[in-house]
Amino acid sequence: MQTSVPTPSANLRDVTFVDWDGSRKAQLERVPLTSTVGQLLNEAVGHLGLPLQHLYQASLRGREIDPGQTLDDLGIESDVEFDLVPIVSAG
Amino acid sequence: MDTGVCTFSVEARRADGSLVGVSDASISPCVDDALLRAVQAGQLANDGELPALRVRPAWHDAQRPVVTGLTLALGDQPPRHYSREVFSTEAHGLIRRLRGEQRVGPEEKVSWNAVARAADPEAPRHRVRMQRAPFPLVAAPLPQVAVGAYELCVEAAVLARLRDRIVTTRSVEGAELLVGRLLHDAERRALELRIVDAHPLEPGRGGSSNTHFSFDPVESAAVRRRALARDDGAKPCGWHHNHNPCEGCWAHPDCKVDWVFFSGDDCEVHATLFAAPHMVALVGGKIGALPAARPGFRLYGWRDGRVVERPFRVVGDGSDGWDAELGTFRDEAAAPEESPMIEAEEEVSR
Repeated sequence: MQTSVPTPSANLRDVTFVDWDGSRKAQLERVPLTSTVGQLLNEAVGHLGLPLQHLYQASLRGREIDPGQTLDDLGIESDVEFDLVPIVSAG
Repeated sequence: MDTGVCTFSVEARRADGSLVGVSDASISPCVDDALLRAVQAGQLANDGELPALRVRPAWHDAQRPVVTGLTLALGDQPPRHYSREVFSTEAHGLIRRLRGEQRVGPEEKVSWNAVARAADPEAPRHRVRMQRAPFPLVAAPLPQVAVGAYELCVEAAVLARLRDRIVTTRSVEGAELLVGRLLHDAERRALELRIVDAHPLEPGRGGSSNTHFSFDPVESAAVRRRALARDDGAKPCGWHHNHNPCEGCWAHPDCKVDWVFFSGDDCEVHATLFAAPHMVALVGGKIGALPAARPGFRLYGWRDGRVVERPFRVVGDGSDGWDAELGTFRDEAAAPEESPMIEAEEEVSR
């Protein structure tokens, strides 16, 4: 049986966010390169079921990412995985 | 998280009933609780798969859409009830934000409700694929754990090291990533989390002081990766931090103020960084009548979708002297001699 393979688009990527303890991943499929990391991060936080009242930071291979940067700005050439880290302080 | 039929939110209201703020609220801690319970009982495979979810609001009789909680069922599991307290972290976070934005006065009384409404039929922006890791279960006989129970224990050597660090750093909060083994006895349907080590964490840009410890996004992730690379089967399972007593406590060993509690900020750290249902938070510091130089501990963890204080056992060398009621070792728990009584126990607010 033949299976159809989706045609890859030059301007779309699958973008995954992993929560801090590594137990959950949300993969947003076929995301335009013009999307900012901040927009995608906010969408992922809701899907991951994390509290929404907090600030989160995306990091890519240990580097903090400015939420205003687009995937294009970051030169993302293939599907990518960001770590999602909350900005929190214990009291 | 998509419940399919409804979404939950928390509302903050002034004393006159007027609405002052709303925030979406997640039922993820309830889902995680139900999933861990079902895996523990052998009713679901530990493969990270989430079966179909059935969620029903438990309506407040007279104030719909206000809810008193919710019932949730995974697959063909029987439904389980969760109280509205599962939303308290979100609610208190909302109220703190409103105070920070000065939309609510510092002394103004604000109450909160949890409400449920029909899910927005608008399609999400992108198609999403969710993945969950299986729980890091290690098969082991657990004759010491009651059938069907989930118990927690900490190795005495870990507590001893943490106590030394607390005393050494004295007036600055510190934090550690805890690692341990989540032992599962399938026959007895029993779980035991055994905490075996603690990796130090460095504070982030917000620094640390005698009232806070700021987590560094990148450095804390690096410590987690190092902990995951251990070859002894232990995995990250929570965190420890200490609450420092005031300088007066060090000078007056008779002081009875208790500094070991779980603050609103601590709840936020736990809900965002340590959201998996087996994760725990150990808090060290001055406990009640014990002097500051002899810190004790309390343990907090997820149960029924919210963070509560949990009993724990101390295992390994030195455990014989552990006093669970006092939260410290008995040989160090002697009351100070002939110390003058303080007039009243002060209520601590930070």
